[in-house]
Parts: sequence; structure tokens; C-alpha cells
Amino acid sequence: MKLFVEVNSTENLRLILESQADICVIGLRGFCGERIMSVTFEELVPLITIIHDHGKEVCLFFPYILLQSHFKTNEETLKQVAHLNLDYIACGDVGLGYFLKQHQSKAKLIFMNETMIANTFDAHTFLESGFDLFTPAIDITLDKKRIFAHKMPKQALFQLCGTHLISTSHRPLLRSYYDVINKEDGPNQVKLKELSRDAKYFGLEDDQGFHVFHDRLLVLDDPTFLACDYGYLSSLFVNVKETLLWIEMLKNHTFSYDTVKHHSTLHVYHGLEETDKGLEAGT
Amino acid sequence: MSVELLAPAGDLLRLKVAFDFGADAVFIGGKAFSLRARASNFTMDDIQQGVKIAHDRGKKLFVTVNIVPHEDNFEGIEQYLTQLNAMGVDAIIVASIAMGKISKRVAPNMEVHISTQVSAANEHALRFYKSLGFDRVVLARECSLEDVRAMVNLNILPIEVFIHGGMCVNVSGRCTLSNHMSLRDANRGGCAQSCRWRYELTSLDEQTMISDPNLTFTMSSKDLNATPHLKELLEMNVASLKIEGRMKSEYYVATIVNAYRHFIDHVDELDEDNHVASTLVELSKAASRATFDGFYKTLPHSSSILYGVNGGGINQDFVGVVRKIEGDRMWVEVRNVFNENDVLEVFGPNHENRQWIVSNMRNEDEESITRAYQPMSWVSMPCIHPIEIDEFIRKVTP
Repeated sequence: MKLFVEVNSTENLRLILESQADICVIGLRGFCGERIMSVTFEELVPLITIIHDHGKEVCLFFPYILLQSHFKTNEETLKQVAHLNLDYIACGDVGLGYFLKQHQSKAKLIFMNETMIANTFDAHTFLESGFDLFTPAIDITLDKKRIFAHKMPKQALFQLCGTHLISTSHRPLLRSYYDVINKEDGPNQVKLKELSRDAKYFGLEDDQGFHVFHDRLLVLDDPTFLACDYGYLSSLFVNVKETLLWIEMLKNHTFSYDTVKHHSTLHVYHGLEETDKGLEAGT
Repeated sequence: MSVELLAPAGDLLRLKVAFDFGADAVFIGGKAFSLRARASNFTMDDIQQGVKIAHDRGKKLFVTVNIVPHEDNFEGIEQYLTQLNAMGVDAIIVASIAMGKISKRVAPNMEVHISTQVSAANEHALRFYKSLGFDRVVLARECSLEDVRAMVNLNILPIEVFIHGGMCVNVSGRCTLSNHMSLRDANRGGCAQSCRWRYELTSLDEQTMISDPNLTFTMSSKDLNATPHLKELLEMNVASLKIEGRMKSEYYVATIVNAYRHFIDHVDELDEDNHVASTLVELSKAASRATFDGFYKTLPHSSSILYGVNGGGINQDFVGVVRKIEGDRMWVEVRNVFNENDVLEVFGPNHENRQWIVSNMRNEDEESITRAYQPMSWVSMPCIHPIEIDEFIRKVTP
């Protein structure tokens, strides 16, 4: 299995380059907020060389939708991105993927969206349209994820461990709230707690908006997923030492729910067991 | 190219009302494959009737097939789409490109419109969907007027934009708050609107309270009302202006559609500022949450969020529908209480609003009454002029 690992800082990068990770996931400034470590286009070119020199591949991650005006302003840069010596480009915006394909991107294109591909029929349609890999929706049940693993083990990129995004808003919701309660110095990373229950979530605000992440680590340790060609580790809100441990466990075949739980300061879960109430809810 | 005014309908009654009050097309949900599971939604027989009502008036009917389907949700889809095609449905609205492609294969007469659930926000997304053979894109609600204009001018695909109704605070289709907080799948019709709940904020280590206990954090968005930018949208030749709200009442549909129809039809005749102001007044007569103008001009800030407010928007101003005219009296089907001497206003698609003071009411037994209170009962009163059957009556709040 080739392992994608998100890089969150320059310090993390140094440690991950020394690890057994196969692919470093980084971002381009102005396109990924604070979701992962980001660099300018000028910094990107030498960074790719450094990562390659360590025997690892590079994935440039664009997690969010791109508005027309933002896209147009940066179109020349994005054309140049297509011709860089990148190994993978992960797109949360289908238009960006299509654009890169039209400009003969050398990198393999990943359609990386948390919700849109919840069945293999859609997955095949995206692959036929030019994408090379895809991420199955995160919030489908384990049984439904296994369908992807069985049918498309070479194209499905599963998040095996880490926190995960559960909503993203283009609005600066934290800053707006701070304005209303006259709190000028509020932090851009918070914990949200539902008042009606004790459930908690991470909140992050950056130049791309306000994003909510689950505060539990999603762990897929089932052999079905570990037998796929690709795996992904997200590391936002996680101590890099934990991330390094996951890499080691995955490469040494000792990765499991229990071992992750044992070493983590965060709660751990297998993902939602049931999200099937949608079609029946309230009818 | 004349713009299409596209309205929602949760059942046949609201579909007919939407057309009566000026919609060019109506979108509905079937019993299967559609979001808004809590809307009453249409049986196949209802859809057939809806197509007939639409086509008899030279108008169009669209059906939402806009769930993000799981593996087992494809069962029966080909048969369903084939049936919709045979009925003459003009278009389906999809969030799944696989379902869109299936429709193109088995239901070639129906257009495929890409839902806002896929959050298409740039010209390259439009090119992608065009490459798949689809016919229209409903843009992400995060697009500004300039974004919309730029994409319309490229003439890649017809573009539909929202002008009124509920707003997801998050990027549509990319939110699973409901899935996690209530195990109800937001992208398959079960959204519990968890964004509207109240949350406490702390530091990451939970040691420091950040939120104000007297005004807790929420992500509860105000509704969209694009009236201030409607003239610009009309001038840039978008294909369709969409009103959200398949779960809204017949009165809401009538009021909102009527106001926008009036704006569109008279856009060149009236002073813009006054036209906007009078339209805003008309729209405010429908039950609604507080509104804002979306992302069209600026990035929404605190004024787009409902802090410390629970929903709201129910009013009882809608008091009846004109059902019959007999000589110099009209029969009104009662919806909410009204009394003798109340000031009422009748509105409909063919006339300016008319007001009068209620007097000389009689019930179905021809007895004189001073109060109409029984929902769905009929009361008669002297006609005002002009008057038409199926016009709506509301109470004028002093």
C-alpha cells in the first residue's frame, strides 16, 4: 500500500520525510487555508525536489471549491501547476480536476471530496471522465465502504486514520460570532460542544471559511481496506508523533483500532455505523 | 432570452398555485430518490397530473432526483426515469453524475440539470458537466454576481441561480453535520439542520470558555432574498431564477412567486429603488425567517446569521382563498381567523392588490356571522371588484 500523509508544518515535514510515508500531502497557499501546510508557487518547485530527493512522492491538495473569480485570478498559476513535476494532485473541486486534465497535467488526479462519491457507479463515472483515483464518501457505513474496497481496490483512496472534515462553510462564522460578542482576540481553532448533548467537534477558521471536524479519530483497520493500493492519513489536530506511529504500524502490519486507541489522546471510532435514516426520516 | 421563474411545490395544490401566480416552471420531488424527505412529495399519479397541469399552460415541470445515492439506492432508478420520461417530465435535477448519465441513456427526452448539491462554482466545472452531456447547472450559492456574470457570458451551459429561500450555511452537499449529530443523512433527504443548533465554544484543550453564555454560537443562516440584485441578474441573462422551499405552504408559494413575477414583468417600467422596496414589502408578507442577500455582493458576515433566535417565520395573515362568485357575493374558503371590520387584502396574478373592510359575512347556512374561524369552511361576503376565483386573501396588519 502507498501511504499518503498530510504534512501540517515544516517541522512535521522533516519528520515525515524521515518516516516510511510514501507520499507527502501539501497545499498551495491561497487554496487550502490552514488545512495542511501550504507554500507559495515559488516555494513549491524546490520543495518538490526536496521531497523527491528523500525518495517520496508529492501530492498537492486543493480541498475546497474554487469560485470563478478566484479561479480566473489564479488561472496562469494553475496552468503551471499542471506542468510541475508533481506525482498527484487531489481536487475537492471537480472543475479544477477537469481544468488540469485539459492542460495535460503530468500528475495523477484524485477527486477528493468527502461526500460526493457514495457509490461505485459515480466512482466509475469520475474515473471515465479523467480522474485516476477517488476518495469514497467518508460518512457511509463500513459495509458500504467495503464495496469500494472489493470492487475498486486500485482506485479507491481510503482515509485509514485521522480526524475528518464534516462540514465546510465559505463564511467566516467564527469571526462573525466574535464580532457579535465583542471578542476581538478569539482564536481561530476551537472546540464546539452541542448544548443538548456532550458531543464535541473541532472548529477551524481560515481564509477559506469555517470548517468543522470530528473530534474522534476515524480508524479503518479492516483487512479489506488495508489490502487496497492506497491509504491516507490526515493529521490536523493530531500530534505528529501519533501520525508517525500510525505510519510505522501500517508499514509493519500492526495497525489496529486498539493500538491507535492505546496511543492516542483523542477518542477513536470506526466511522458512522448507520447513516441510513435519510430516506425515511420524517416521512 | 426570457428568464424562467422556477418555483417549488410540495404537492399538487401548491404546484397549481405556483403556476397560477406566475411560475414558468415548477420543481417537485417524487417519493423516491429526492431530498426533502419530509416534504409531502408526489406519487407517480401526482407527477402525471402535474405534467398535464404544466403543459396545458405551456409551462414546465422538473423532478428532483437529487440524493447523493449509496450503492443500493440505484435499484429501480432506470424504471423510475423511464416512467418520468414517458410522462413528459421536462427535466430532472441530479446530484449524482451516474444517475444523470443513466437518465441520458434511458430517458433521452428529459433534460438533466445538475443540482446545487455538487457546488459548481467555476467555468471548468460547467465544462465538465457539459462534457457529460448534461443540460443545465444550478450554481453553488457561494457565487457572487460577478462569478455568475462571468459564467453566463461564457455561454457554456444554461445557468440557474437561487433568488429566494432557505440557505445552507455550509457548502451545499459538503455538510454531514446532520449525519453525525442525529444519524440522519443530509445528502439523502434527512437533514436535521444541526447547523441551527446552539454550541458552546472552548479552547482546544477545553480549559477556557470562549463563547458568551448569554449568546451562544450557532451556524443558523438567515434565508436568501436576492431582490436587491434581481435587476442585475435579469440583465445578465441567467436561464432560471429559482425559489427554494418544497416544504413551504401554498400561501408562501403564492406570495413569493407573485412578488417575483411582478418584479420581472415590470422591471423596465418602474423606478428600480421603488420597485425593490415594494417587492421587499410584498415578500415580507409571507411567513419567513429573516433574510439577507446571500453571497451576491459581499462575503456574508454576522448579519447573515440568526443569533439567539429560534426559527420564527410563522404568521397567520393568510385568511382564505376566493372559491366562488355568486352575483354580488363571493365565497371564501377560510384558512385562519378573521373578523368583521378587519382590513383584508386580496392578491392574485392578474391584478394589483386590493383592500377592503370586512362586513356582512354569512356562513354556509346563510346565517349572519361576525367571525370566520373554522379552517376550510366557506363564508360569503360582498364582492370587491375586480375579483377572480383562486385569488388569495390576507389580513392587513395595522
